[in-house]
Amino acid sequence: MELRSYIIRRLLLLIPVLFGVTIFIFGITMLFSPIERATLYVSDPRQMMDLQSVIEEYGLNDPFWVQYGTWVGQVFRGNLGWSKVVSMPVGEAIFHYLPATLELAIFATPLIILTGIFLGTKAAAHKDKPVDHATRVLAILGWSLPSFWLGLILIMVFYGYIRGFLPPGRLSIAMDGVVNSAEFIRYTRINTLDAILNLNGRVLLDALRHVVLPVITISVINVAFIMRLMRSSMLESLGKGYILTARAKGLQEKVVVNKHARRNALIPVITVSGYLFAALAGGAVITESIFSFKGIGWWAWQAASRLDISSVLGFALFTGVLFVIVNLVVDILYTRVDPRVRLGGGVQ
Amino acid sequence: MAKKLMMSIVALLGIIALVLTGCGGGGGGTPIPYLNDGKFVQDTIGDLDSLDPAWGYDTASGEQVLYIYEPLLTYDGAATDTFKPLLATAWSYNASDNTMRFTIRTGVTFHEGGTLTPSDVEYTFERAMVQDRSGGPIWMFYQPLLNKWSNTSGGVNFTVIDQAVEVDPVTQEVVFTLYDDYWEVPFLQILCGPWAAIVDKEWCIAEGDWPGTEATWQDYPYFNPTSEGDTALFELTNGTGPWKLSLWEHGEQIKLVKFDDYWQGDVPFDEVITRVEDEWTNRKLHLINGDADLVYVPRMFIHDLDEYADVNAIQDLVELTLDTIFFNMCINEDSIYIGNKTLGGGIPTDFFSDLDVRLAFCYGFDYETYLADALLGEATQIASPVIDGLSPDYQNPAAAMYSYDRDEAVAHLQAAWGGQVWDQGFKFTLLYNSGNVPRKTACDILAEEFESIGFEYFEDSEKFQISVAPIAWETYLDKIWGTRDMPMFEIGWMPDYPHPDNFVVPYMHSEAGAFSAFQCYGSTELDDKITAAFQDTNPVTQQEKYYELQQIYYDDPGGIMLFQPQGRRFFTKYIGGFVFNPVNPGAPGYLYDMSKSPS
Repeated sequence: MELRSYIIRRLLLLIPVLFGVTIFIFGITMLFSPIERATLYVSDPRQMMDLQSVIEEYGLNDPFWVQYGTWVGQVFRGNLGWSKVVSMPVGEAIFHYLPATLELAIFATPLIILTGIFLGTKAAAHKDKPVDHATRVLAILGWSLPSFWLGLILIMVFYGYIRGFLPPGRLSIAMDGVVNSAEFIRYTRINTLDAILNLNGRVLLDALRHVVLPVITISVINVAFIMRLMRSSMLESLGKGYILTARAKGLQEKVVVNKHARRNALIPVITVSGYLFAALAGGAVITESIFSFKGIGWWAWQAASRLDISSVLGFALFTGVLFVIVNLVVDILYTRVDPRVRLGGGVQ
Repeated sequence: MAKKLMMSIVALLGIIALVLTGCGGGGGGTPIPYLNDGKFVQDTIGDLDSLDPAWGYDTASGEQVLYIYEPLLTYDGAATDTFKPLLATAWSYNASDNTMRFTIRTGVTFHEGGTLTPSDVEYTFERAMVQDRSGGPIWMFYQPLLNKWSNTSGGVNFTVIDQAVEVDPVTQEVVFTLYDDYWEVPFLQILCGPWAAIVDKEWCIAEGDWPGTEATWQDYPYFNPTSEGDTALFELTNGTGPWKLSLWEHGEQIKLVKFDDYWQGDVPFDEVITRVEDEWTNRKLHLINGDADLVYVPRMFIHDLDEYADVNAIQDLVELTLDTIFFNMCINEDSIYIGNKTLGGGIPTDFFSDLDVRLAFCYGFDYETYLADALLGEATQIASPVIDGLSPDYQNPAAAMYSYDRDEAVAHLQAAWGGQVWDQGFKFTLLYNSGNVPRKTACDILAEEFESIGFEYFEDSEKFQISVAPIAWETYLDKIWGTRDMPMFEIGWMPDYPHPDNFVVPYMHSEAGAFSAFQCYGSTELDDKITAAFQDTNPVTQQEKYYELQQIYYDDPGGIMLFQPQGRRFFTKYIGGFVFNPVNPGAPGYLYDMSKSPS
């Protein structure tokens, strides 16, 4: 199958996927009574006296299909609704909060994958040796640390004990002023990238200071996963016949491990890495909240906790699209890593 | 290589362990650095709804609106009963025709260059009354001016709105015609609020807001808009206040910069930055690192900052709010919180309509323990909805108040429902909104007390059984005003304006009460007394009437009156000039009188 038609076919799959996702989420929100949903539109107890008019105005008493149909109709007109929790249109909210999340994902994903692959390879190559045991301890530590706890500890140490060293948020007050001034162009709203494009070292340094702790928090947990996956995949590869052949041919162990075994062991890691990026780009809810690194995850959490249905549905649409696209990219990457894999078919 | 890697990992773990076990630095003795000169930075929780003065009804919106815009008058310092002029220079009230006349200040410039005129003031109020979104604050104009509730009430049309506020063509005064003379003081209080902030008519129209014509008054979104983003002034501002909007990153921060042509002269801060910071740890660390000048501190964490000498904790600020556990006297028959709906296995739906039941609960609550443990002693027990600090101040200092008395509780329990409650016992579930620790404590205190009574007299701790359970805030609100299936509920009240009527009505009015109407409390006779108290313009007799209402609430309690809280503000030592006024929205209050300096 040609690459182009494969991509088109996969993109068409988006429609039923998104339909299913939105129906599911919309259905869940309908479990709440109209009054419960109407409370989103009021901010004061005395306004509750007027809830019936709120319900009528927003059509909260209408049947499920009417409400869903109204929403879908709006989506087709490019209107994803109003995000009550951040007082802006949902579409705008996605574009507003995405750069912060992408900034974390851009730094964290390579760090997680490269470290995970490196440590996983080492552990497999030195199976049951001290290095393997040490990486296993690291993996257990990484897995068992709750991200909210680790994040808080890191903030307390690197911003509390070491006063002001690595602060939460995205920028300091002073640099925020620079970034929002007329002289600084916000090309992407990814602060580190914009700082480079504006050739502004102070903003870059400040943005990096703010990125370090959330990236470490995200990475510690995810590295453990990639590392263990890589280790078991490597062990499987190292037991294959072609590795025995390579060794019999007298190749150096370094070459056998890094060139022959690792390349084949990468396939499951690529799959997981793709989803890891999608998950990070869809927002690291706890990390973003703990560090006030306000991205998509923080926004989604605010919306979910306050029953902001438009925002939750918008977020579901966004993540649905993101995962389908990432899945597509991962499938295409397979063909580059493993020539046996064909698009749209099985293994040759 | 492998050895090196292993050594590196071991070393890394060692460093982490060392760091986590405490590496020094920090601490309360370390001075807070003076940062962000000329800027006032505060960390708060929750974003604002809108910068449109006619839309916002939350304190976050009100605070920012009052930095950017100004009303005709404001409260004088800490007082809630005296006013000082802002955009009006003088005002007078004529009882013969119920008109209130305001002389508008001259020489006042809007941020975008327009000049303040009386016609701007007229437009401001008419625009607000036209807009009057559902659930918004503009009922506070409709009630005193037209004796209506909203723009959709019967009899409301463009003509009556137009006539409610006029500019006198001769004197150029702005003239409000009140519905009746008893609105004089409350209306002045209402005019101090952010909803009464003055906008520039020409600029508004140019920006696509209501053109001020009868032909368009019911067009969307000028009339009854449903989304805050639909109004032209949602994030577009042009006031006369000391600061103008520079940046509003929704959910993140709002940044204001000083207005150089401010009519009162020099402005104390070049920038006012309000950041939304939900995490307490981050807010605390921002404060002690000098990155914030003021932070919001939840009550449970107020002692976290005790050790920091450079944190200026201003204490004992009597807030104008109160908390009550209400009795529901007409529980929904479908309620799942009242067992089998009969005594013994549950409670009947009208269980709390019996006065002895309510009195048993009022005497059975340990107020002292609650105030000390749940509120850390920073609250005062209250006798009735008429609390301390109102204007007029009609709180009866000698008002009777319930105190914990098990014997009294038992006596009333024995008398309740002709002795049936004592014989058969009861079971029900008490809900609180999850995460609210003080409310959970209140529920636990009640549950344990009645369990203890059952054990003491019947050796059966399940004789009088109250189960305590958490529930989400939205669902909790629904259960109060929607399904009405909770037997009791605790909630707080914050006034729109500090008049006793704004407290008595929600607690005691059988039809208009935000709480009483939903708990089946009150009667038409009581409603008449409430109305009579409000409408009495003689301070002596009016005070008597409010004293009587307080006594009525004591004799026939609609709830367990809990507390009026004392608040705190946590500034760095570099901030000065704070004056607490409990009616001002937002933590800093009237920011224009404050300052920041390193000394």
